Amino acid sequence: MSDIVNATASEQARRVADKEVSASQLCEAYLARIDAHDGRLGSYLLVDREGARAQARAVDTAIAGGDAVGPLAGVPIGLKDLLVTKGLETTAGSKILKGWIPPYEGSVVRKLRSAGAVILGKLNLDEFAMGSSNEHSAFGPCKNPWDLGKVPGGSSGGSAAAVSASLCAMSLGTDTGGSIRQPASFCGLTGLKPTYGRVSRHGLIAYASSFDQIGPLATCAEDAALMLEVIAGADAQDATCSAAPVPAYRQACERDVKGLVIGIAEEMGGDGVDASVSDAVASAIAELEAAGATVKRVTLPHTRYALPTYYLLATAEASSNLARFDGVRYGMREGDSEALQNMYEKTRGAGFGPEVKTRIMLGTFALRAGYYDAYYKKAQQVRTLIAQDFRKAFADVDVIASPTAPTTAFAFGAKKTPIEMYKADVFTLSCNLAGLPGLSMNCGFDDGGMPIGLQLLAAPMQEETLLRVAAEYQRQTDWHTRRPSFGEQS
Amino acid sequence: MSDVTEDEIRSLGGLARLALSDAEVGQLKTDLEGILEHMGALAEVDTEGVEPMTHVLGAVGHLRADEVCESLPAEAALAASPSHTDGCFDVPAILPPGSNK
Repeated sequence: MSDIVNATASEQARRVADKEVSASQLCEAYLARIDAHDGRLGSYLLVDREGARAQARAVDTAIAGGDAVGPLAGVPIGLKDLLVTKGLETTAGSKILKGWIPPYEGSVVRKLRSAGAVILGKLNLDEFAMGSSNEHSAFGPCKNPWDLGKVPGGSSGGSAAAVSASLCAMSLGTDTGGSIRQPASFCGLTGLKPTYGRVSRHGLIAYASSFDQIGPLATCAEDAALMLEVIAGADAQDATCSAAPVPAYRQACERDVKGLVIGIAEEMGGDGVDASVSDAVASAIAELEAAGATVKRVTLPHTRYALPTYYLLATAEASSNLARFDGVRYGMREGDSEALQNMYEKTRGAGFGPEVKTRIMLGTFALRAGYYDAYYKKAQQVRTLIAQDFRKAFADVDVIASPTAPTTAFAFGAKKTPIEMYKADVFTLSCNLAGLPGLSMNCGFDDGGMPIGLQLLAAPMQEETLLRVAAEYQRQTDWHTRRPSFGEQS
Repeated sequence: MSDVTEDEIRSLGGLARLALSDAEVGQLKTDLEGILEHMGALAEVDTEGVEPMTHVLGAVGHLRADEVCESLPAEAALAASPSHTDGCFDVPAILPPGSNK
């Protein structure tokens, strides 16, 4: 059974459908790995053994009875614990929601279940998705399976670490400013942040509603395509979700890159990028050129303003979104014997961690009367300029390639101030500001053996182009097949 | 532009409904000043005549048909609340106990 956990999710789905392996066997293989190894890694906040076994048995029964099964039938999936699961504790990585049992199912979770996925459990994250290292989880940080002394990235750190360590075949993360792509980069995976509105946000606990998107973390482009086919598409419960038809993303993976134009922007690189990262990214672009793509320079002049723009707007939205955690309808309550306002303040003061408080305070500052024009409105104007830069660039090129992050995974405790941490997202933020789809994939390793990520961005709704480029690169190279030795020695 | 006083931090904490310890107030002052210094870079961008973004892809909301459909039963909606009575969420008094105003 040990080889099956090293197969891609697409291959696992095929073997289950062909009765080469049962969904229950596959499920047990992963549960055994979680039991053996996750104590050291900390990627799961909750393992739903009985739920997973029941779903696997249902798949096996359907297959034995000759019934049609969904495209993810039997595939073991982990979910970032920001996604609402009916009857299954959902915490957002926060003390304030500890013990919350949601009364409804998020739309993507419902879609996964009807596609036959076996949901193994809920994965660790930075509290309310606010962080780039997983150090802000209220339940202790998840570690990087390539080096347990290093962070897995964030905020979807558990989602990345679990796939990388083969503790689930694929996972869902969420990406507000890079939270799928940066951990994918740090853990050597393929992570896809879809176009804003491509995937329903219903049942995604909101951080910044005009940025948040759900997307897959996988070991290869084909698996990400398989997942996106299942989760994308219209949803009556999310008015921002696009009604555009869902393309056959897996077919896009079969195409080569001949004739495609890859853009390189000077502003998405340069100072502050580790030499090993720049070199690996340059080699990856050369590889794609050799496969038939052409390279063209583009300019994204407002890129340097992405960080202040993002952190003003996202925190403003967060300060509003997180107002709902007030000790009334769900979660913990403190100061019950005092007046209402004291109860709100004590509950929130005790329930939120330091980074969440910092962001709520920053957002409250930006929205405060007298500061609104100088901060919030100004940032929305710059957001327009950033989106215009991309529109102009995508008139000339099909994708824009850059490093996903300026460095490989850093050590726990390495980032001493909020701004140092925020700079880890410097190349991923502008994608969310412009609502674009973005992908990160492994394109090599640094001298310390840590994975390096190549980021590809495309025009809105052009996920097919991203997957096509990633799949071709993964046919030409084998970086994506490397796995950490984590878990094999013990 | 980036100086924030401890009183302002306390006032913001009140607006944000966050009880903050003195140590937290000090740390937030340091952190917000550091962050706001970086935010100041936006002032140098010429945004004369630039429309603030309202929706990232210019799309309008997709509204479903206005039909009554199944909604969450009250019991399920109340189940996770710290305290509820007779189908209602319990909250403490708006005025403190003993207040007669």
